[in-house]
Amino acid sequence: MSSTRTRTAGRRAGRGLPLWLSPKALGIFVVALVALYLAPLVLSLDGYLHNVVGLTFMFMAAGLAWNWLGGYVGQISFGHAAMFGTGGFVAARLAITFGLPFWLTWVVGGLVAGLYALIWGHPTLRLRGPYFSIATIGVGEATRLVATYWSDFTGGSSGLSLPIGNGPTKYELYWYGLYLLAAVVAISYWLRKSRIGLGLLAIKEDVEAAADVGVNATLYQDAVLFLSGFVVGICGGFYASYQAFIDPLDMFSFDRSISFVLIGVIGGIGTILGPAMGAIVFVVIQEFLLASYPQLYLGLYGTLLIIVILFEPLGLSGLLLRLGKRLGRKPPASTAAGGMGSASADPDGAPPVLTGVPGQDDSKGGTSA
Amino acid sequence: MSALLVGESVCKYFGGLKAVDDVSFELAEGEILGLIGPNGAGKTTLFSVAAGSVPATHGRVLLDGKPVNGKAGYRSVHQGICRTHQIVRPFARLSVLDNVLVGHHYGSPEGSHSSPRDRAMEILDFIGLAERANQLPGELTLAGRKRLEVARALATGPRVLLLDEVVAGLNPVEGKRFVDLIRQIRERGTSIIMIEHVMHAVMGLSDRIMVLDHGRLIAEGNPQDVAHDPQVIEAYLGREDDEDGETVTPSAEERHDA
Ligand SMILES: Nc1ncnc2c1ncn2[C@@H]1O[C@H](COP(=O)(O)OP(=O)(O)OP(=O)(O)O)[C@@H](O)[C@H]1O
Ligand SMILES: [Mg+2]
Repeated sequence: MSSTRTRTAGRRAGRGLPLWLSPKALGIFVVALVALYLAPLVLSLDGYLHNVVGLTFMFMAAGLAWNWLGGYVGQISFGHAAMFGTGGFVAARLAITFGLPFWLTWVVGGLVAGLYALIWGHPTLRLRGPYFSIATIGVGEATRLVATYWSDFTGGSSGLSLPIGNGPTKYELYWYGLYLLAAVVAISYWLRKSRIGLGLLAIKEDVEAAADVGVNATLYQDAVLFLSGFVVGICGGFYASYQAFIDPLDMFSFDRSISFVLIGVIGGIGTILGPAMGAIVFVVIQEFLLASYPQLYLGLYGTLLIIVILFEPLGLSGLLLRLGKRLGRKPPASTAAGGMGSASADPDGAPPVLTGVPGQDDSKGGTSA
Repeated sequence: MSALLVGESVCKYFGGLKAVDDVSFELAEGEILGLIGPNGAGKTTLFSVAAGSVPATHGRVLLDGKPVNGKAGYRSVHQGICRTHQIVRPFARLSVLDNVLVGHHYGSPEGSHSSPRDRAMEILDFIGLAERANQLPGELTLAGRKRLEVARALATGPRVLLLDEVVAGLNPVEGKRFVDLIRQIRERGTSIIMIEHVMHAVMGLSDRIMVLDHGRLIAEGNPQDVAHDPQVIEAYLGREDDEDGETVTPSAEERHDA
C-alpha cells in the first residue's frame, strides 16, 4: 500500500475538511453580507421594496431551516407552521405581557418552538417518508385548532397586536433579517460540511444501514428537528415584529406550512442556494402576483410544484447546475447526483455559480426587482 | 480460551416463525467462523441479532462480556461489532469515499490516525477501490459494491466483522480475490463470522463452521467434518430429489445477484 498514492488520491477525492471555511467560500459570504448591509444605505430603495427584501431574508432563513430536515435528513415536514406560529405567539406574548426586548422574545419564542418540535417530533421521526409527512400534517392542523381556541394566549381569531415602539421598525428589520439569514447560512454550511452532515445524508439514504455503521439516527434527527424548529420559531417572532399584528389563522395555517415546503422544493431541496432562491420566487409571487390575483393561489403553487417535481427535482439550483454543465464546467459526479451542488465549494469542479453564498446573486435580483 | 463474541441461546421469532431457535455460539479472537445453511435457515437473522440491529426474542449476545443490545443498533458498532448486508446497502448518493467516511466517523476507529480522509483512503486502497473514491456506488460493479460494503464496515474499526454472503454472486476470479481479501482482514486482527453459500470459499477460509437449518444449529466443527456430516447433507439435499452427487451443493448460489 503506497502511502504517496494514498495521499494524492485522498486529496483528489474531494473537499478538504473544513471547506465551508475555505477562504473562497468565506470571502464570497462576507462580501455578500457587507454588500447587502450597505445596499439600502447607498441605493436608497423604495421603502416598500426595502421592507419586502427584509421579509425575503426571513423566508430564506425559514426555508433553509425547513431544508435541514427536509433536504438533509429527507424528512419532509408539512407542519412547520406549528413552530412558526408558536415562535410568533410566544414572542408576541412576551412583548405584550412582560415588555421584554424584542430579540429576547424572538430567542425564547424560538426555544419554545424548538422544544415543541421535539415533543411531537421525537415519536414521529421514527416514521419515514410519506408516513412522517402525513403525521406532520396532523400535528400542524391540531396545533392550529388549539391555537385558534386558546384565545387567552393567542387572542383567538382576533389575534394579537404588538405594543407600538417595542421592537425595530420594518425599515430596521431589514438588517435583523440579514443577520438571521447570515447565521442560518453559516449553520447550513456547517451542518452540510461537518461530519454531522455526512451522518445526516447517510440517514437520508438508508436509516438502518446508517445505524449499522454507528450513526445514532434518533439523536441526529431529533437535534436537526429542534434546530429547525428553533430557527423557524425565531422567524415567527420576526414575522410578528414585521406585521405588528398576528393571528393564529394566518400563523398556523396549512398554507403557511406549504409555503416552507414550496420554498425548499422550488429552489432545490437539499441545497443551500436553493431555498434562498425559492424564497425569492415565493415572495415575488406572494407580494406581486397574488396581491392582484388571489384566486390563482392554489393553482399556481400546484402547477409550480408539479413542474419542478416532473422536470427538475433539484429545482432552480438543478437548473443552475445544468447551466453550469452547458458552459462546460462539469461538476464531480457525486456532487451532481447528490443534489449537493450548491452546498458549495468542491475545490475542483463545482460550478462557481453554485459556490456563491445565497445572499449574493439572489438578493441583488431581489433588490433590483 | 475466552471467546470474544458469545451467543447464549439466541432466539428470534417472527410471530410464530422461529427464524433463529436456541442457537449458542462462540467466536474466538482472530478466528474465522463460517455460517452455512439452506435458504431461510435464519443465518441473516442471527447476524441481525448479533450485530444489535434487532433485539433477540430470548437469549443474548455478549461481546467481550458486555451484552450487545438490539434496542439501539448504533451502539453495538461502538462496542466493536459491525455487519455487512447480504443485499448491499451503500448510501447511493454519497461517493465511495464518503460512504467509507461515514463508517469512520461514526464507528469506533482504533487509535488515532493522521486524518479521516487519509484513513478512509487507506481502507479503500486496501480493499481495492482507491481509484473509485470519487465515484458513486451505482457506478461500481456488483463486486465493487460488495467491496464497498466491506470497506464501510471495516472503517468502523470493528473487532468482530459479520460478512453476509460477500462472495456469492461474484464470478470465480472476483470470488477468489475476495477470499484473499477476507484472509487479509483477519490477518490485520479482525475476527470474522461469514455467511456463505459458495462452499469452496467458506470451506477454505473458515477455522470452524456452524450449520443452521430451520433456525436450529444442526452441526458445528471443522470444515471437513461438517461437510461430511449426514445431517448437513440431508439439510441441503435430503428434502429434494436432487441427483447432484456432490456434497453440500447450495442451490441458491445465484439467487442474490443484484
Ligand atoms: N423481518 C422479518 N419478518 C418476518 N419474517 C422474517 C423476517 N426476516 C426474516 N424472516 C424469515 O425468517 C427466516 C430466516 O430468514 P433469514 O433471512 O435469516 O434466512 P437466511 O438463512 O439468511 O437465508 P438466505 O440464505 O436466503 O439468505 C425466513 O423464513 C424468513 O422469511
Ligand atoms: Mg441471508
